[in-house]
Amino acid sequence: MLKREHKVSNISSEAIFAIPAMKPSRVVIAVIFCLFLMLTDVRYESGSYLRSVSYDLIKPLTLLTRIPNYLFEVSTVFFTSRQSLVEKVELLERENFKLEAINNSLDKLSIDLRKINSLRSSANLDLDEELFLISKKNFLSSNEYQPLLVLDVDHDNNLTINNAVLSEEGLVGRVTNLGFLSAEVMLVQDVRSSIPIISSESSLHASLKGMGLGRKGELNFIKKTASFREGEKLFTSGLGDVFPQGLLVGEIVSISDPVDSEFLKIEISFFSSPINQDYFLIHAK
Amino acid sequence: MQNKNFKNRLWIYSSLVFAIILDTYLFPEVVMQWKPLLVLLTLIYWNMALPDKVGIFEALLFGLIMDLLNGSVFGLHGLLFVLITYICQRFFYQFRVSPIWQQSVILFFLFFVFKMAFAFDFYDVTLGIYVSDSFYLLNAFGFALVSSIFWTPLFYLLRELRRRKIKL
Repeated sequence: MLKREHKVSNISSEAIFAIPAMKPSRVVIAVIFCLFLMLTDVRYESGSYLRSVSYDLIKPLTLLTRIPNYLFEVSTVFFTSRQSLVEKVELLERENFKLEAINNSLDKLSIDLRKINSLRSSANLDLDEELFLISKKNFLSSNEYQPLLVLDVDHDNNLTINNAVLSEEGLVGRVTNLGFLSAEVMLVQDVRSSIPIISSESSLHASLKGMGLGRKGELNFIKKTASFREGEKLFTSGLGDVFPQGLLVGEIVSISDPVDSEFLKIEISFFSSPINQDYFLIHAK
Repeated sequence: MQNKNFKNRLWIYSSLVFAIILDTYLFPEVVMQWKPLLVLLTLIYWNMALPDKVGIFEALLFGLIMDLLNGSVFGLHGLLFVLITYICQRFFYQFRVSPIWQQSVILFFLFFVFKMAFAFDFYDVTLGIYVSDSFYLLNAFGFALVSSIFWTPLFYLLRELRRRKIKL
């Protein structure tokens, strides 16, 4: 019997009241350790480096999260295949069933191809001069203010930090960390994100700030004399040389004039949402 | 004895890993903000049921894993997991014997505070996002409520697992 196990715990599985609680000194050490980690992350972004390395290590864990989907797909295919088999046995038995299975996989392939083609055609850029990489979503964190998208990438590509990430609906974000087989993307909805944009009709420049996942973005420091209009589409302006010019970002949904501020409050609805997307286009400069 | 101990830990760790898998699973946007943090609920259960087997180390370890998966400030989940599990274990004489609905109420407040901790702007990059943001408050309320509701089924589920698989 281990030293820590109290005798009472062996009498009944319920009687564990004699076991001492956590030692406060250990709790204090753990708290100090966590605070140290937080401070180094906030000050030196140590967490980002750790994350980029650890994604490769915890990849099996993220693969496990796909099991429910996989089981659902397998069970769906199983039942439809079985149903098909019953019908086909009367006609052509196993040969037809094979064809059905091939057709199923071709359908899936064509859906993926359609998505990829749609993704490529959505990029409003010269494909000859620019290098695009199609990447599959690994996972998306539910962090409200700082949502994190992780994409699967090959280790021998030309990706660098700050490469723009697009979907067929527009700009998704930019690469902030690169691992061996994964890339971390800061989404446009992230509160740390700031994108130089130009409006479609009034051709005014501004800086678009994310306000969190599921929230509208805002244009920063817009003077009250600025002539933005509701419904105007916003594109990347290319200033700052981080994002390429002309990528669709969102549209203005409301303009208000708060009395207690010297700036306009302009809310932006983002076009892209990474939740329902499987494939993304990384624009490698 | 060693083998039994190893099996016990395997079951406990498996349940925690399974909870993390469910936590990282993608749901629609509305559900994502309200879905319960199963790994913390599971941690609280094991911490309360078997305090000699699940302690600070597990809270810290799974907290840091959640930080890596969630993209939050590295150490924040770890800190909160350690503090919450400590509170639950420190007062587990009162917590354990109280009715399940009272436990749920206590957890509601703990989870509400937990969610509010993520509203702080650690990177100092935002203007206009405060703890008092009504949208965030609503989400925090929903999150705490759903988590406390989930406590009851999870409690009975894990208790069943403990009675069947964990040999003391």
